[in-house]
Amino acid sequence: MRKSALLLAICIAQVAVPGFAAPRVLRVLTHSSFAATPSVLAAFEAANGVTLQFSAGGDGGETLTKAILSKGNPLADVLYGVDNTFLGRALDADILVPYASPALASIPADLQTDPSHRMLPVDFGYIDLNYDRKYFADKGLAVPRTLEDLAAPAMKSLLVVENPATSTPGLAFLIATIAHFGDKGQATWQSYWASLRRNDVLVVNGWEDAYYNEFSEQGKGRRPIVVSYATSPAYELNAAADPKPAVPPTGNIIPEGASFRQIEFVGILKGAREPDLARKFVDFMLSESFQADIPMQMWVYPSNAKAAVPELFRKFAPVPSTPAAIDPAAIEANRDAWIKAWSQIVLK
Amino acid sequence: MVADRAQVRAGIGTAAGARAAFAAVPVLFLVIFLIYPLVRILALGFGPIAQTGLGAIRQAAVDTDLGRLLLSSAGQALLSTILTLAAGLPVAWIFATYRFPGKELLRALLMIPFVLPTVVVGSGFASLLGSGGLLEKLAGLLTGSAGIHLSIMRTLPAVLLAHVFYNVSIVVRIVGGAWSAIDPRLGEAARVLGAGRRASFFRVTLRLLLPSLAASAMLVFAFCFSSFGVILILGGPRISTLETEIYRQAVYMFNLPAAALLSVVQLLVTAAVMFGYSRFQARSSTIQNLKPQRVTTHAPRKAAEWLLVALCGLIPTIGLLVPMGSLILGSFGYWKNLFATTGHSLFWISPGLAAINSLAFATEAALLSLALGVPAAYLLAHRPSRHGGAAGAALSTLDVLFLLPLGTSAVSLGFGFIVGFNSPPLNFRGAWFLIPVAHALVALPLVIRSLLPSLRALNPRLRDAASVLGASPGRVRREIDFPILRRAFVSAAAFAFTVSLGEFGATAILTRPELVTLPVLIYTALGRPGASNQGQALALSTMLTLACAAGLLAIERFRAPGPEAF
Amino acid sequence: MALLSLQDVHRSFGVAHALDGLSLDVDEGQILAILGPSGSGKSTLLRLIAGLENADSGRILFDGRDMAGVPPHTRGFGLMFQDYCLFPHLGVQQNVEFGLRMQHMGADKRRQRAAEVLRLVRMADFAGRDVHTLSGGEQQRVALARSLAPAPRLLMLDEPLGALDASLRVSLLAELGDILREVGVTVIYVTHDHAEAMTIATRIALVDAGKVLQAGSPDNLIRTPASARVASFLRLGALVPGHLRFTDGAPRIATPIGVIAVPRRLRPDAKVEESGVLLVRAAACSLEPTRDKVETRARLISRLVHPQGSTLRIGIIGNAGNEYAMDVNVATAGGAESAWDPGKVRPVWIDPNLCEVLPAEN
Repeated sequence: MRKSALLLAICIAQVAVPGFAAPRVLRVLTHSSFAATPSVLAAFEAANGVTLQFSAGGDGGETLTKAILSKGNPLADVLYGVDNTFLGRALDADILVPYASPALASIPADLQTDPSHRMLPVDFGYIDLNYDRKYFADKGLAVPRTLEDLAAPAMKSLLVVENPATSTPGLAFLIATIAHFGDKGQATWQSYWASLRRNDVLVVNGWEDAYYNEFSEQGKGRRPIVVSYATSPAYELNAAADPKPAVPPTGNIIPEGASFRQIEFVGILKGAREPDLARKFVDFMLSESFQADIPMQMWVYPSNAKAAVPELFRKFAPVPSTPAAIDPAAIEANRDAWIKAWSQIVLK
Repeated sequence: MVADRAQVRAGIGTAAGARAAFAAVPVLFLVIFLIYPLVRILALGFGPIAQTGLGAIRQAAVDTDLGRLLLSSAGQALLSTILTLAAGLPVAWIFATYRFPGKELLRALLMIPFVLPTVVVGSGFASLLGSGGLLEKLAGLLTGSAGIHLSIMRTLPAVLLAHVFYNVSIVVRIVGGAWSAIDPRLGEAARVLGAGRRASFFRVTLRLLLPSLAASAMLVFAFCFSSFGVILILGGPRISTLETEIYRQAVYMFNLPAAALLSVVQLLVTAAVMFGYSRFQARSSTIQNLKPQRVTTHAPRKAAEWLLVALCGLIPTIGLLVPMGSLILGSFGYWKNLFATTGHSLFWISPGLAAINSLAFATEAALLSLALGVPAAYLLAHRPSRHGGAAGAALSTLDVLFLLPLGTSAVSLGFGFIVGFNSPPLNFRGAWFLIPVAHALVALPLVIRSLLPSLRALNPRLRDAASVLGASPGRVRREIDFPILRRAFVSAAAFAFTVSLGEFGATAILTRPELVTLPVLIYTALGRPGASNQGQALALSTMLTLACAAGLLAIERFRAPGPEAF
Repeated sequence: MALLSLQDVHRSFGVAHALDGLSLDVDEGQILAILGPSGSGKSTLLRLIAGLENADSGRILFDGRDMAGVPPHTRGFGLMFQDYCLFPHLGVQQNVEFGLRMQHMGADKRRQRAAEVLRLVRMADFAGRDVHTLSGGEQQRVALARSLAPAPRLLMLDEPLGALDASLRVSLLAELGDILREVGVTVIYVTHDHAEAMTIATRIALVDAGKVLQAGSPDNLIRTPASARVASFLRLGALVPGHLRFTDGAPRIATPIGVIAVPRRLRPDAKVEESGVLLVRAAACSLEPTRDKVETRARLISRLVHPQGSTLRIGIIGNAGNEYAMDVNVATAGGAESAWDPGKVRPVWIDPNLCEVLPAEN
């Protein structure tokens, strides 16, 4: 009898707990990697008399899908986390309202990929390759510098990439190769990938799997080169135990014209319950105080040109001079075909 | 005797109306929380196709390479089922025949995999089977060469191993439970009549075990058929199934029509398998005089028996502990970080609170699935077994309906929840109860399937005897059914509890910040970069394991009145 | 007024009629045996009375009250199953106390009553035992105790000795009779064994094909069977079919074993050529030649040896070669037992005055 009473008590407590909320709540739907310093957010809450409620929707693609499916009765007021590979889809689905925030003035024009201002750029990062310094030093190998280098015999069985069908970095890298090689002439992206296959490239389904299980620097894997984020080395240095080494254990390979720039956007959902607060929050996200918090929280670059970028980034998370350039509309239109062709070449 | 069989069949006909009314509740539950969201999301997908007609469907089938997906899904599911049965039967046998120290612990241990998120298991298996893993080290030791590289990650064997790891408990619980209630004198009678050991086993024991074997085989098949995380991580890019493709199409491609088509195919295939199983099940059930464990089990007497028990018990124990052990080992050093709050503000609640949420939801889900599953099981158990005609077909359809959550793509269902419960009058998308509801939905087929074989085997005359002695129908249930079928009820509750604890998909979709559960927290930790976060994810997984074990042991303690342990 | 009254009860399963218009009365304090071959609907009858099933038509009245719609757990009857159905998860004591618990009897009173009943069935020492360790006879007694404990107004026993071996059956039958009479409860005792029925019952109802063929005291049934079918089931003697003749105004029956003048007629209005069955009881049969008796031949079929005098099963041979079997006791039939070799044909003498003619069916 006492056991059942305890069970009942737990269940009632469950129902009762979610009863507490401030008078005004702003709901933000983000992907699971969203992070910010509490005091920075608290400042916004205090200034506007609002409680921020964040919901994680999974990765970028999942979050967007949920936002699209809940059209008409949106899950939140603000949507953050759509990147430029999904931008076309977000705009086509018509779930956002335009907002030309005054903060856009501080944001470089080439980041503002949506002329209708329905999706505003918050941050950007680069997908390139990381390499294991120790491995190359021990083996006395020269670190590859271009995409073509990766297909050289000396680099056989050293590369691990992610499946573009299931992973955003994987897709980003594929797009970068397409942008770099094109599909005309002698050296097409298709022939490049064929040569990578001959060079025993390892394909896995997700970035975590590639990085933590197959990348040699993490201790288990045998592959010293992995498709990853340009800020990963900086992160590794920051996360290292004291005393910290002078340089990170990993380095970046930033092939010319073949680094994919991933931009992340924020937008106000149609049917938001608190449109004014939503606009204020978007302004806030583009403001210097929030933007300066971004690098050490999410390990990407702030879009606001005026925001301070930490020393660590400047030293170990370089910005490529010429990133790969692809039109978001083209991505949306060709993604399926590209992935299919790629699978045919690399997996089958 | 003819009259005898007929009596038994038609016997409790007077209460049929009441039973049907009771069973209407789970049916209603399924219609609202399964059928309706599914229909909504599929309609969304099929809408565009409907306009362009069948040609578009055929095109979508070609585009997604439907035939190959079907083959691969069914193939790996079938292989997994066979292997799981092979792995589970010896363990079921020792559970059914012997009493030995550590039996309860092993029983609980077997169920832990259910609760572990597939991503965590994936990394556990990776550290064993992948590069730099245990397998590689062993191979190096055996062959004497240090630089050997052996990895079976991203291959079919890895997938099959993981499936066996996850599902062996189903076979052990359901088959082992039924086996431990078989009257040992039946086998002895067969042997006296001239059947050798083997013949006696095949003709008597196996025949009586057919319903539970079929039930566990069907459950394992359904789980493996719609397996997601394991395929993605351990199968790698070269292995894809209907479920992974549904996810890809829905989320990555946002090609809802293709996702809808694949969902329907998946549903139809599973429904067909379930329907076939259901017909077989009805015909193969026999009424038995179920015996308690005191009668059917004994401590091993000879050295040979001890050896057998040790083998059959230790092998799965090792098979389970090694992956789990690697998880626990990987978490060392990160426990402190778990409870520090620096940097973890968003999506991060205290692990203690997440644990409480998980346990609370699991309890609610278990109670809900029992409340729904028991009437449903009773309805399905008393049906006229050799009866053809409309009633028999209707009950088989109901049977399949109750099994349907197993064959439904979790992705489709999750999205169906978002679409379906988006607007009034069913506007409870944000409601907290949707989480235990979603969990109960997934657990319901397991609950019913655990109960059915035993329910059907219970001698109905025992109920008659109790009834005549003055026990009202409810009292009969309490005094007769529950104590004798205790094993099955405990298994059902254990399954429901465990499934709920480990459930991630629906919870992630529906969760509010304060209702975060341990699996959601684990995924959050895994989604962040850094070895520290990975380590914390492992620590959380260990917490989940402990919570699960505690809960399971508590459930085992539920004893019915009476001296006999069934 | 009868305690229990069944009126024209019908119950069928698909095309099989288990009970086909069965009517029966049971008085208080009676031990009624329902006797019939297997498959005659006896078990169905008990289930109907207990309320575990419903009749298709007809009424069941208990104490004048119609039992239709009354659930089994409120009827206050007792039912002992053929396979005892002891609850496997309860010990002997708990099994016996089960009905008392359902009556909400206090723990002390329960224990007392259970002990009392167990003493009655001579199982007092078994109270703490596990039901699986009991032998057949012991289980039967516990099952009896369990059904007696709640002091039911009507106790039904379904072939209670069916699962036991012959010698046990004989001794337990006597004991059972004593117990039932001591308790004084109204009993319906279902069996297919006529010796059992005759020994234990105060009244017998013969049931076949869902109907009552004849009901009455054992004596009554033996002395005046209503038909050849009844006589056959009660193994009253050889049954030889024939046709009625009236010769010189005296009734005769022409049978394969001869034309026999029978003092007792079929019925006052029986006609010539009407068919009937001649019943030759053991008492009418002699193995020694006697005057005024019809001589016929018989063959020894089998012999059951008793210290008190063997029973011989003989087949009287008709003119077409058919055999009509009956049992005779050597001591009463006279003649030397050793004169009979198995298979050998010997003359027997039949006294027509001790025979009777019966209708084939009721």
